[in-house]
Amino acid sequence: MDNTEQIYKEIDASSILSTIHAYHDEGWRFAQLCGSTIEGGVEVLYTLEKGPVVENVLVNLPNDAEIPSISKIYPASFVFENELQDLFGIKVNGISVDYEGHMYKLSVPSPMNPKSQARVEFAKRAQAADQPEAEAQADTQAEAQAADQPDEAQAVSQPEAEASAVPAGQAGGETDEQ
Amino acid sequence: MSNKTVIPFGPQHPVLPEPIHLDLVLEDEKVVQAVPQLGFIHRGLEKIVEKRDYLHFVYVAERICGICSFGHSLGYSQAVEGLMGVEVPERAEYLRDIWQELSRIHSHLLWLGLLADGFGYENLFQQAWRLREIVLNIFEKTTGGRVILSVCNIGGVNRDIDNDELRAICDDLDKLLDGYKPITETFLDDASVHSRLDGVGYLSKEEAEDLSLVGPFGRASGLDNDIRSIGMGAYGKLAAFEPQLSNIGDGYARTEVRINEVVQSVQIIKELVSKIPDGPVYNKPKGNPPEGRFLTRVEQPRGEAVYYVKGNGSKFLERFRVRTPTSQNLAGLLKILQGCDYADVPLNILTIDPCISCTER
Amino acid sequence: MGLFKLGGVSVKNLFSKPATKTYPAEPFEPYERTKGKIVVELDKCIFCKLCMRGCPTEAIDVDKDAKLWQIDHFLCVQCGDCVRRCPKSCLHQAGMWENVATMRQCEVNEFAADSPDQLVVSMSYGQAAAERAQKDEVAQKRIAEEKARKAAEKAAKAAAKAAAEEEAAKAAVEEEAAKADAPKAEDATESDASAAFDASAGAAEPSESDAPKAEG
Repeated sequence: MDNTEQIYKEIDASSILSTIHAYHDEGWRFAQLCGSTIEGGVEVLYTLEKGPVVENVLVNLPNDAEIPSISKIYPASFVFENELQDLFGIKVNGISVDYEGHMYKLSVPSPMNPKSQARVEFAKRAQAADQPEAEAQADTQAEAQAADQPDEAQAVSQPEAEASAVPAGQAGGETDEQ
Repeated sequence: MSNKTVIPFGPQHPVLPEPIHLDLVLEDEKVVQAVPQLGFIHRGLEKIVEKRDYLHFVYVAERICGICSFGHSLGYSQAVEGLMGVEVPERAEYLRDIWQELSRIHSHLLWLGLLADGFGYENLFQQAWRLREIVLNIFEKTTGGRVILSVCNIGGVNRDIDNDELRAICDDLDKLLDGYKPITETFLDDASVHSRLDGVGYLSKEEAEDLSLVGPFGRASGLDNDIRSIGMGAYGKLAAFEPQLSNIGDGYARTEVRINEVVQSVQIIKELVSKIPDGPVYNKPKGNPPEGRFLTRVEQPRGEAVYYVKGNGSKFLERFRVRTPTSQNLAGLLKILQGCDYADVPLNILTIDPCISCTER
Repeated sequence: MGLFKLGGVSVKNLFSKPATKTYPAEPFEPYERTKGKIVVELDKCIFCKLCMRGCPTEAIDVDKDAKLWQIDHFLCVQCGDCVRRCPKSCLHQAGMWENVATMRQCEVNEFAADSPDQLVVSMSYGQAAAERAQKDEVAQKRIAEEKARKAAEKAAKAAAKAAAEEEAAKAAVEEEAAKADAPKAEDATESDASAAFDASAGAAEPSESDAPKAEG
């Protein structure tokens, strides 16, 4: 059983750097940086720890927001900030090693955040490109709505893993929206 | 006046245990910069959590990695138990920690073999893996699987080990320690090993703290980052726990820390076996995970892994996030690759104990 | 520091048995708990479908009317969930898993059509797609049934709540009408009964955390 006290503090995007600086000056260690999709945007979680105590800092961001990078304070965070850029569509400014959205080879941009601008544009381009896309989308949407239970892993999996045919990626991406 | 060449290293390379791609910028045999590229083994496991029942997902979580498989199922179970408020019986906590320590022993023995293979000492590689078979046989006897155990579950463990079997495990581990002595002597005293590991990839304590290193990679530079000292689960019942530290900070120190950790793990297992209480081993969870979030940490063989779950009242979790130790150590890897010799690159990569399948889930 | 530290072990290994076994010439002896292929004892099976519900990969399919139990061994990950859940303990893990095939197939266990005592095990080839489509149909039917059942339960609960509120209103009116009288005892039992009904209806669905508990 983990009895560590769970502490979550919510802050504004403008005070990210100052808060993290304060933690660094008091000797806290960086644990992780993680993004989750919430209604209308992305929630970024910074975790810092010092011995047995763990504190989490939450930042609620709208889609396609821009935040400063903390890799000057904690160099180990560059991997997670690139991941945030790739998978969620949040622009992070000033990462020490910046892959500019290409760290993971994705076939669908920002797959974990279906409402981001990059995703919307990709969908529009794909639809304009070839019409059978629209039918495939409608089919998979109907399937996904009907089937409430967990599908096989192949049907819904990783649009970012296989850089396979675009229809497969598109269909997989659309079901993610359900 | 010196030429810069870019040489790609990986993802397929005889010395690499896992696929990672590094573009090495060389200036006359010295590495100036290394640019890593990840994503060869990304399977989207964090997305699958939205499609699989939370009780079934434990079988997906343990397949994140083969070497640290039990640790991932333990971390996931611990996180969901914290979210739902499920009480784990005491005997189950002891059994989980015994399996986690066995997992640490087998992972370190595997790493010792790979390190020996990295500098060409194949005999030492096979001897280390021969000892690892003792641990894998223990796994098979107690859980049924050698690598993927399928034994940790939300609310406890699926199988019990009776006390006679536990004593037999301790005897097997004694035999392991007997066979372990010549290997450690070779690693720590042999002149050829010294010449390959001394001074390679040095990091001072301040640099280690700055880079937030985890695991034996950081402990070799004197950083105390062991989560077992906090005393979660059965670790809190140990009489004393001191993490293995060293202040030499190079490849030799990292080898020494891991070698000592194997011996320490055997002692921890013996202590847990002598103190294990009787009782049930499983407490079935009721209902679905409520809305909320929970963050927990587990000491994997490679370092501290952070598990974060978010529930939303349905039987599918909203978010599951694993921050694995190797992804945190990547910044440290890039630091030790700067300025090293080209021939030392595989050794530097091996001394951080990379587990790329964990990094890219 | 020394040289050839592993010399002693190497010389000893020259004269001792190898650590490897010549499988398949030497048979493999699994331990008692070794995981393996899932095997069913069909005469003990009661077709309760608990194994089907517990399977994380949906490898098992059970048909109660046809008395059929089938498993797709290629989907099975040998997690052992079905073995633990079976109420009659008729599932076992065989300790070995040697499955070789050129096409996707399911192992079907059923009783022979002409002599119901005889167990027949067959492999059905090339039906994976058809089976998945059938599973989807079955799944859709199940989902529709669940939804109908939940709607009926909700309607029943709402009706009960409305009835309880009516009772409470009537009781309040009665209280006001006849003051220091004994009807209070009757009211208590009536509202207790409706409260108990609400509590039991709420407990039947643990997933709905906002079940209206005893308001009546």
